[in-house]
Amino acid sequence: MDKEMGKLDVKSIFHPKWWLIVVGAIFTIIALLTFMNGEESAKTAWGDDYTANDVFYEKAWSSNVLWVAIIALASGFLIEGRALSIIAMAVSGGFILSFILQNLANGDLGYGYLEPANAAPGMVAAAGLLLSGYLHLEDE
Amino acid sequence: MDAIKQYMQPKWWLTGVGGLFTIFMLLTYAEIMNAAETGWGADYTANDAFYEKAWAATYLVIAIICVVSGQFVEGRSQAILAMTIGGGNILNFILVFLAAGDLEYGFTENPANWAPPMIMATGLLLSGYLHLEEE
Repeated sequence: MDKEMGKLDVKSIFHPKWWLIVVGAIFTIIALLTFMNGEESAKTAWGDDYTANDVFYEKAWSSNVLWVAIIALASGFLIEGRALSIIAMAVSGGFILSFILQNLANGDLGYGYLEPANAAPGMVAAAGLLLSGYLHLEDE
Repeated sequence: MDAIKQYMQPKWWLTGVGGLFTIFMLLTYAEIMNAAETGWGADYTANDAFYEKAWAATYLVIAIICVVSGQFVEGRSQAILAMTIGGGNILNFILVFLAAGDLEYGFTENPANWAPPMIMATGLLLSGYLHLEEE
């Protein structure tokens, strides 16, 4: 019985609806701040000797992150059941794959946002989303 | 109207757009298509090449969401996702244009590069809208 209760608690905490809404809201804020402060983002990424191209890419890349965040928010608010779980898993699985590819592309360039301290919160969010989708995959 | 609805099925628009995006992003990431050179000409930097690959990796997330939505989601949920992805693409396009400003970035300067994704975004948006009342 206690084991069953424990399972219920984990499923309640990891509900894809709330994970999608919270992760979507946080990434919406981060993406908008990055877009509005492209110079600061480029400075964090490369130090003082960043270029105008770096600023452009920080803004352009953040607008893609905003796009994914909007998908997460819309899914959390407007979709239910198994579809919601599938989207939570697709968003998080895609994000983890994207992170691996970005690290491989980075090589020894030393891009600041891929340092462990900067990357960890995004990875925690992705892992939570993935787990929430998996745990509710049988929902109607 | 029924004929338009028949051709504008979100299932196939999501799967088709997702499939095309996946192919283009993998070609970009593998540098079979040199996006940095298209963007800035032959004198692009290592940072430009990194950003193009990292950006392609983020597009790949959206391509995966498109394919998964097309193949594993149905009805109204699928229509909502098609509208969100199509609308998000148009917003993304506007923001990238604003970010590019007067840098003369190849992908925003040449309509041949940006028109096809905009047609796909419009198709996705319309397909979702036309099927929004489905169960």
